[in-house]
Amino acid sequence: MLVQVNDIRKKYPGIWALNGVSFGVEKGKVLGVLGENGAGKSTLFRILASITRPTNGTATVMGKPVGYETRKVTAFLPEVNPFYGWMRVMEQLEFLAEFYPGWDMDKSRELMSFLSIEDNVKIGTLSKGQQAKLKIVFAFSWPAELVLMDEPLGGIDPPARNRIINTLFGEFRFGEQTIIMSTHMVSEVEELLEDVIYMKKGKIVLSGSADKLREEKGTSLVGIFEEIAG
Amino acid sequence: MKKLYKFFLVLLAIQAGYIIYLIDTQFFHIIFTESTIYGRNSLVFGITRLIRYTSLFIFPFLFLYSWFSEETARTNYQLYSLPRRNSVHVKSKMAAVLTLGVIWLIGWMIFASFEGVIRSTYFPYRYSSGPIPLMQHLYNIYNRYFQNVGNLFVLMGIASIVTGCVQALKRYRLVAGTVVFIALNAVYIFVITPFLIRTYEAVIIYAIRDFAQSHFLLSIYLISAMHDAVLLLSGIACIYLGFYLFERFSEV
Repeated sequence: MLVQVNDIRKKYPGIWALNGVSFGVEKGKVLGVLGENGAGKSTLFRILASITRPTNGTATVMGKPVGYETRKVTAFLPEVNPFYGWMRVMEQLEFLAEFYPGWDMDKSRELMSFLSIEDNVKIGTLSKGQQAKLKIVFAFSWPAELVLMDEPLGGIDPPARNRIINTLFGEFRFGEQTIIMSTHMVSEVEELLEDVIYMKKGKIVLSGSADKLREEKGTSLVGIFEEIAG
Repeated sequence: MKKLYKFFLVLLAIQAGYIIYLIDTQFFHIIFTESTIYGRNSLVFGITRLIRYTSLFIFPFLFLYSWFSEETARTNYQLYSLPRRNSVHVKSKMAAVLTLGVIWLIGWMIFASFEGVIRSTYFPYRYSSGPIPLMQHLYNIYNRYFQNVGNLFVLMGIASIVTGCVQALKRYRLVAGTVVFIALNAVYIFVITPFLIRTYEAVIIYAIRDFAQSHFLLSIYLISAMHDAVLLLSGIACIYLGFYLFERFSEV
């Protein structure tokens, strides 16, 4: 298993954001983490990215407990825009390239060209959609073993979402990168997901292979999502 | 977060004001008293000293600002996900601010090199210098160049611990930060500062008024040097405690 999560719990003042979450992800798989707002998806991603500490439980990436060592192999795209607004696009990418081994600046340029992002504009002036695209550039510019994408399609125009995500996964993915993605837009990524976890109120309520779940439930992942959301 | 940041800025301003009130009102009282004897030279010296000390507070302000602005802009997501220990980020920011502090110190050194000449030219003493000009000059250099280094480290230490506490907590951040801020300031103001004031009083009164008592001056210099060493070490200890809090508890 590339990622192994064992009984993770996270308590915030007055609420358990995660309440006993366990799962494993094999190398090269694409896992979808689906659930409504407040299900605990973002907290789970932050713990896997090692920027939030679990209250209980353990999580490992490539056999190592999550920490600054595992950040070397993990690309984390948070739901928010994490970039410095006063930096220009290329400055930000050059800054990040210093930290991550194997960063391919030519690939960054290709991605920016594909996603129509200018390299000399200040990030603060980019639209929400362009900032979301810039996060994608970061994720696919270096050979991260694990890519954590928390709502990666937020802000991107609906007609472009499907084309972008399919092209990225088809052409720009580094070999067998393992991808864990959370999204509300299940229909946009349904074809790409190999395994799925459905979360509700900090717990996993359903998990398994996407094909198997579709077969068992007799409906699409969107249908299952709507059924669980109630 | 913006409110929290603004609140700590207000605390910082109060801290600056109170310490300046404690040190410089007494200092100015002496200065004004001495001014009747020595003219405006002493007054100008007092004003430059006040500016020098006040400008110290820029540095903890910059440190606090750099952290709170990361949280406000959500760039802490990027910072914490970089493949480095959490304390590396806070150490980098501290190093950047202290580097500015060194530049500030060098600026004052350059200014202080000319200050005495400027004051003597435009606001000459009514009396000539005393029998121990070398001792006096050495003390002035020491006082102006190095004494504020200790104060700078203490202020940065307080800022480091307060920021570390706020980063480490998810609840009662404002209360905890304020309590720690006030407690550390109480130690600084009520334990360390009175000692500082007494030293200054002694130095100013005896060094300016009675140059003949050189043996007494020497003991004052030694006490003053010890005091500055305590300030510096306390500041470094506080800074490292802040680093520990970051490494152990900080998260997004």
